[in-house]
Amino acid sequence: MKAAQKLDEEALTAIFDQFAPAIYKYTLRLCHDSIVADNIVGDVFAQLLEQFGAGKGPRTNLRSYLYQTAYHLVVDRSRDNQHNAPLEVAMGAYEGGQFSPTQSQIEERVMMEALISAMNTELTEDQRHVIILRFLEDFSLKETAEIIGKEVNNIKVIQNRGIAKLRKAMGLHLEEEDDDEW
Amino acid sequence: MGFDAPDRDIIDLLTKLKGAESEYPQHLLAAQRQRYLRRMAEVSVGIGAGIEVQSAVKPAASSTTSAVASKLVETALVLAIVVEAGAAAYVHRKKLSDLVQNVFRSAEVQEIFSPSVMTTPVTTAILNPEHTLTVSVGNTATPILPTVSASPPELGVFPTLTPIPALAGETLPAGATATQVEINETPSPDEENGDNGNHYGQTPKPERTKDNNGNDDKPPREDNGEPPKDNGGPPQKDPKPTKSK
Repeated sequence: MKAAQKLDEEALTAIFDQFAPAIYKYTLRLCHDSIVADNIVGDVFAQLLEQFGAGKGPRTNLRSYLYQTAYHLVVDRSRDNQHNAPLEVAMGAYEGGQFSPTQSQIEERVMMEALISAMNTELTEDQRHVIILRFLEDFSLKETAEIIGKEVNNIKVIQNRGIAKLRKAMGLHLEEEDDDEW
Repeated sequence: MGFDAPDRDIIDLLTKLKGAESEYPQHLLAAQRQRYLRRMAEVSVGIGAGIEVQSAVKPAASSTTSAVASKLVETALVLAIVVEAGAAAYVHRKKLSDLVQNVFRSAEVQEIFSPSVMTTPVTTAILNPEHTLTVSVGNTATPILPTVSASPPELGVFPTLTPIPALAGETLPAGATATQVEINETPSPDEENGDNGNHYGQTPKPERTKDNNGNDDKPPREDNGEPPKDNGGPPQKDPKPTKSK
């Protein structure tokens, strides 16, 4: 961090190599568009360089700072552009023909798609964001509160409500599958 | 943080979803990295030039802030002094009023003891010739003022603000010269000089300039203190009125 604040080239390059892919995945989950996610990654690290050049920028938790910046940029873009990419973008790893998926893998993919669908349709924006940060990005409650800009207790409530909604949606989906089987 | 069993299933699915997501496309990542390195070089160059500018600007900015701070401190100090002076004046208002009154009284005393303007020709005409005012000044009337300013050479001025009039026969104060103004004391009427203060009839009468109504042969009347008399005897009486027949 100190080397990066002094605009050391090696330190700044290491920061990009470490956090750029994670920021891309995170923004892809929020905006569902790979081009937009790529642009947001460039904007996040450009803003980081400006802050370091001005003698400002994060002092301790760089990761939280980058995710917070990406979140604000996603929110700004979503206000300007209401377009959402298809859900299959988030499941690109499952596409490909080099291996034959097994039964379990197919079932697992179906569950994943149901989960993604529930996250996009059943949850509010804050609930989806909290669940992404907490369970997909492995942030703590405190870090999640700092990124979103809410209190820790509020984050707990949002998280529990989001999980309850997903459980309810997945439970209905499982009941439907059972009904289909019958 | 503990979760219930149904919630654990959802969390496990979310964990699996994390691993199943697509990676950052390599061509997009490489292009973004190049742009980042180029920007980093620009910022480094700009910082190097900006440091020199900031070093020149910072003293001015700091001096500006320090000047503003110093003005504020100065204003605060002046206000504090004024407030303290007002409070002290209020506390010692009696003493201050006494002091002011003393100052004005001394000014009035100075005015009382200041000698007036003296003019020799008019003064000697009115008063008894025996009582003269010896004013060793030129023929002009010069006011004697209680100042220490430059004065005519005939006047000897004391090096004090208040002149001390010298009485006849008194010793002059130290530093005074013989050319000081001498003012003789007005003699009192009770002295043994035969002057009781009554000068009635002592004013000289002017000479007559007009004709005496045809009576030029007759000498002028003597002034013996008697009222003037008519030619002839006693005043004629009015003729008695005659009775009409």
